[in-house]
Amino acid sequence: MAKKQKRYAFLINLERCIGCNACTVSCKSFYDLHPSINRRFVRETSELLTGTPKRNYISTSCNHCDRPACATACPTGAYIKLDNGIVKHNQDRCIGCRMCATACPYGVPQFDPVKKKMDKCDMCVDRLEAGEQPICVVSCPLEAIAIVDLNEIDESQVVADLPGFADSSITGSSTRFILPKGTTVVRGGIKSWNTL
Amino acid sequence: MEHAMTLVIFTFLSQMAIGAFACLFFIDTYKEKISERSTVISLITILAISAVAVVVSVFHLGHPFAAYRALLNFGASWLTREIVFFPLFMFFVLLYTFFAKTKAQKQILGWTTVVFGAVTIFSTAMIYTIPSVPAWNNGTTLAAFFLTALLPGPILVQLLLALLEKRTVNFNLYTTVVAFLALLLNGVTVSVLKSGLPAAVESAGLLTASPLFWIKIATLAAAFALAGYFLLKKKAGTVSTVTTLFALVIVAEFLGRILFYSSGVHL
Amino acid sequence: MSKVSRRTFLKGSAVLGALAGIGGTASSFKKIKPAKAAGKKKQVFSSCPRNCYDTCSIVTTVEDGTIKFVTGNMNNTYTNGRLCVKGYTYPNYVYSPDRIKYPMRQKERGSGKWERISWDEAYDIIAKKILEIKKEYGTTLPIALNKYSGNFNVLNNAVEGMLSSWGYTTRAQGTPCWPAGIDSQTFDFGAAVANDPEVMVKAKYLIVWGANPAWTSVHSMSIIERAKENGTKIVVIDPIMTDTASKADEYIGIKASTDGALALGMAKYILDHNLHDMEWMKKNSIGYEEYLNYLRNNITVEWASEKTGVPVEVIERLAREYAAAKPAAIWLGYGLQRHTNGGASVRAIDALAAMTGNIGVAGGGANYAQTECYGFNYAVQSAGTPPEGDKAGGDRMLNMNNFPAQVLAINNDPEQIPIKMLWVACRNPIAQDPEASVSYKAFESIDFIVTADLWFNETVKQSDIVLPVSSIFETWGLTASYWHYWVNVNEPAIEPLYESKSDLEIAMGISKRLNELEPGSCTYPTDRSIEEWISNELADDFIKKFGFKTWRDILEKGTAKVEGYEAAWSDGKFRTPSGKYEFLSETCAANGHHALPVYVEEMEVPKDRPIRLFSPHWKYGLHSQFQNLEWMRSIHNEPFVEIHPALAKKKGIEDGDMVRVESEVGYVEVKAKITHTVPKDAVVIYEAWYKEQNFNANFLLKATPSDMGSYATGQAGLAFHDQFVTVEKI
Ligand code: SF4
Ligand code: SF4
Ligand code: SF4
Repeated sequence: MAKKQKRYAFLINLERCIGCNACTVSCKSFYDLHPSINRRFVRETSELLTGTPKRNYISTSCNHCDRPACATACPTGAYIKLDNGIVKHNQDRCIGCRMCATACPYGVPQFDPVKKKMDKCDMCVDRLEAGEQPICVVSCPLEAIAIVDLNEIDESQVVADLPGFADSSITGSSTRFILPKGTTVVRGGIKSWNTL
Repeated sequence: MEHAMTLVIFTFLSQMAIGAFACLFFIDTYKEKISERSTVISLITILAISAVAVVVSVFHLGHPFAAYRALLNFGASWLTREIVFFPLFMFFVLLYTFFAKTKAQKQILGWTTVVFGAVTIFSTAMIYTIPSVPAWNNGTTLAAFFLTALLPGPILVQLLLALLEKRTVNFNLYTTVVAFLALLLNGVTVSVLKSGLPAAVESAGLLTASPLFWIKIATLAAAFALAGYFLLKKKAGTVSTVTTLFALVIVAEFLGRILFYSSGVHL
Repeated sequence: MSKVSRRTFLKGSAVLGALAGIGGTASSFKKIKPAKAAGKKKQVFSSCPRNCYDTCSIVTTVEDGTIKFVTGNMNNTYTNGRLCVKGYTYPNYVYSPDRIKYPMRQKERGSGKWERISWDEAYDIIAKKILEIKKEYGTTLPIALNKYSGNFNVLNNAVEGMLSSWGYTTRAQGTPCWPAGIDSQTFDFGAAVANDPEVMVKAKYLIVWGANPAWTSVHSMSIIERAKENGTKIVVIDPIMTDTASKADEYIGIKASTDGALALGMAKYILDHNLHDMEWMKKNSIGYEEYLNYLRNNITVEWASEKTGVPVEVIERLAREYAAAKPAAIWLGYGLQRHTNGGASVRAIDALAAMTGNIGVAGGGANYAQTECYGFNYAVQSAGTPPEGDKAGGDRMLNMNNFPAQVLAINNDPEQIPIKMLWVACRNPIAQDPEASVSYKAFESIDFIVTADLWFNETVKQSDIVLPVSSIFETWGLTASYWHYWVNVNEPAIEPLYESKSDLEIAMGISKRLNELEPGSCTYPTDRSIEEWISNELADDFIKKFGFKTWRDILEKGTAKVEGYEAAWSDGKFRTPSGKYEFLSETCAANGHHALPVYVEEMEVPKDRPIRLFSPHWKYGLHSQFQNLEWMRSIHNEPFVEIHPALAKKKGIEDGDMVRVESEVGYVEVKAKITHTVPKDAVVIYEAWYKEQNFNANFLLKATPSDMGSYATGQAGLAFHDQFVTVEKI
């Protein structure tokens, strides 16, 4: 029996992510990206995600969407959706019109001011094919990023949407998140409030 | 040139050229007798404007000389479609200019050209009608782009004829109505944005906070008043009134296009 | 002798470069000479030398003589093959266009008018100045050194050695970071020795008290996450809901500077409910009866609640849970002791751990720091001894934590030998010392300032001569952590860029010039190869701890662990005068404090500046390093102040507004960030140096001393978190 086709996706564990950007910088270093652009983005998300206020972050790169808006917008057909789910951008075709950046709900593709072409995460497809994990995955000090097969995971344990992250249904974003657990918060009152 | 500015110039000029052609074609074929000289000069002006639009648009690419690769995604990309249809429009303007002699020829070539023009405008609008920019993701984009064709386009023709033929074709009813629609669209747009997603609401805020928006409204209102005045007076107006009118609408529409891009808040 | 030194030096490094090829973990290790390595790919071990808990061992990939990538060394189980964000920026650090490339002289301080000079010229100018001072004053005491933690590579102690080799000089002594706590633990245990953080996973209960490892020790944070997933309950006590607190099971937002009260309140409850470990106390400690009596007579949980703002039932529950969990660990952060009662707080927390028998237990402990890995010989430092005839007879020590004011006091006092020359290395005091405006004045009062650095930072801008220092990737090094138990070696990955040199090379270079000008005027050796220097540092008895035969064995894995600290103090041999854990410390009393870990009242909040200012560490930088780099700037480049929504509302401040934060000594104007994670009566500004921005948290800070520090580190610490401000919308 033929093996079921994989659907690779990022699984981001918000319970572990500390918003440090080690993922962003290690990727930037490994791929020698132009200093002004990044392939991964770490943003703060709602402090009230779990009720009691705390610091929460989402680290995302390209979401390797099921219906990639970048691919639809691109006039050169530089974007291809691979069978394993990865949306790959072919820089050789790219003419730097930036339509993909406008069309992507996540603003993922970045304009490289030297190459004058777009740049985007390809889920380290070469490494994956060589049996290695992506650079951001192996660099995250908290091991908060994983590559999963959407055909294998239990979708009830994860979410695809978060505040501050564009509606996943627009393009069928494949990124999944593990929500943080709540923290019991004890905060003492202050007495001298009126004098502040 | 700044990235967004190239897009402003391209979309504005291309749409005005399309509108101008349509107007010229209707007058030439169905309404009034225009001298051949005036027609050809007007058509060449339209072609020249279109050519400027294309040249400018190429410079919004990181790699202008690889622009041909933009034709490769006709099946999916509205940008490719725009890039296919606008040159087709230009090509047919050229054919119309030099080969449309009889009324039948004029009708066939003229209508084909107008259709390519309309499809171009539709394609351009579809490029921007995308969920990632909620302010654009509704019918106001299409309406705005067509109004750019319908308002400055005919007034351009009016101006050209006034200069070339030393007579003013009376467009006052048309101009009054379209200027009113353009004014109305601003109100509609703001209310659509305000009832949209948070990013669209932000766009509405940016829009109404911008002095450019109010200058646009003022110039449109002035154009409406001017055309309306002559309509009531039942006068065609002079070269200088047409010039004023033209100046008012290009300022309005150009500012409108700048605002379109600058207030398009991404998700 | 001095003539051949440079060549010998180079030969030495070539020999060592070849040695780097031996063994190794990565497949691409080859036995190749560096000169022939061009065009090939190689991997070498580096070590991050910053003032950081994690002190990572790094694997650096070099291709065609250029660093391509850095990542964590898998051989080091603490770092687990991963770095923090700062570590990953190293390629950008090395190749940054902003680096200082040549020795330079500034026409007028602060003018930015730098002219390039040669190393020979620089050495000549400096050496002549030293000799001139010596001639005029009969001593080199007018020369001061301000150096600290910008680079903890042991070879950088050559700077201290260099100054000693000129004569007796004036020194900035002490440490701004942790001295109060070091004193406390020295009084209680005889020394600060923490459990190996890698065994933190064994804790059943972990209290992270005033530390933010999510930002300052990411590898420990990873261990904490693992512990949490294993079922360890994580409690974070901190006035700020840090990223560490955000990951905890429970966060206690304590009123700042009242940590001692919470520890005493918990201890009282434990005592009242007989949950303490009497057996441990009897066997291992002295003064416990006095301590327990103090609790009985002076402490109530209600009082602790009143002080700390933590409800009584929460204190009681914490106490119960902590006492019941075996083992239970406490991590004491440095933030908690940056108060005028910080040392006392640390002692109270130590006592809590001790009375529950959590000392000497793997997965337990009152873990603050350790210096057990610093087994180096400090040969680079001791190689320089004052030449005969310096009339001073000893160095003059100034308090690093109040250095600018003390410099000014000396230079304004005609009775004292003035400070005429300042050498700054491994430090950016103008950006990092409190009362930045006083720093500027102090610098103005000094005739001649030499700074050795990599960046045109605030201190360099106020200097006359700047010397370009090479990054760690361009030189040799050895670093140890004050938290985990690994020692790392640092091999040169690339040739020094531009004309940069290491501090050790600079020391040798100046020595050479001094002796040329006036033979015998400097004792610093100029004929030792780096190999000799390194081998001198790793003495035989130290390397035996790792089971090494020669020091070169460390090159095989790049990192080596000092074993035996799973449970510090498990042998019961405390280094106190009594040999026991001292609840009652005569030494502490003799130093002007209480013998018992009693509560010391916190600093009073001034009425006219009622808002407390915290200026803790920033995640994208370590003090004034890293935030200035292009890669960091592409992520974040705007300083901000965190304000609670309630306070913001009161002040009419909205997110993104510019606000003016003003203290007794200065002000800053900075963007407001509204967040629920800070207390309502405090604001937070993260200390960092932003390139080309007129922002410095230290404009606001007063050099208020903390209670302890002078016993073990020479000088009291700083009450960085007892700072009070007003905040207004601009
Ligand atoms: S490296 Fe890991 S913890 Fe840090 S921001 Fe990225 S995903 Fe989050
Ligand atoms: S996230 Fe954006 S760039 Fe990535 S596949 Fe989706 S639409 Fe394309
Ligand atoms: S998967 Fe690879 S390319 Fe994508 S963000 Fe991670 S490291 Fe960068």
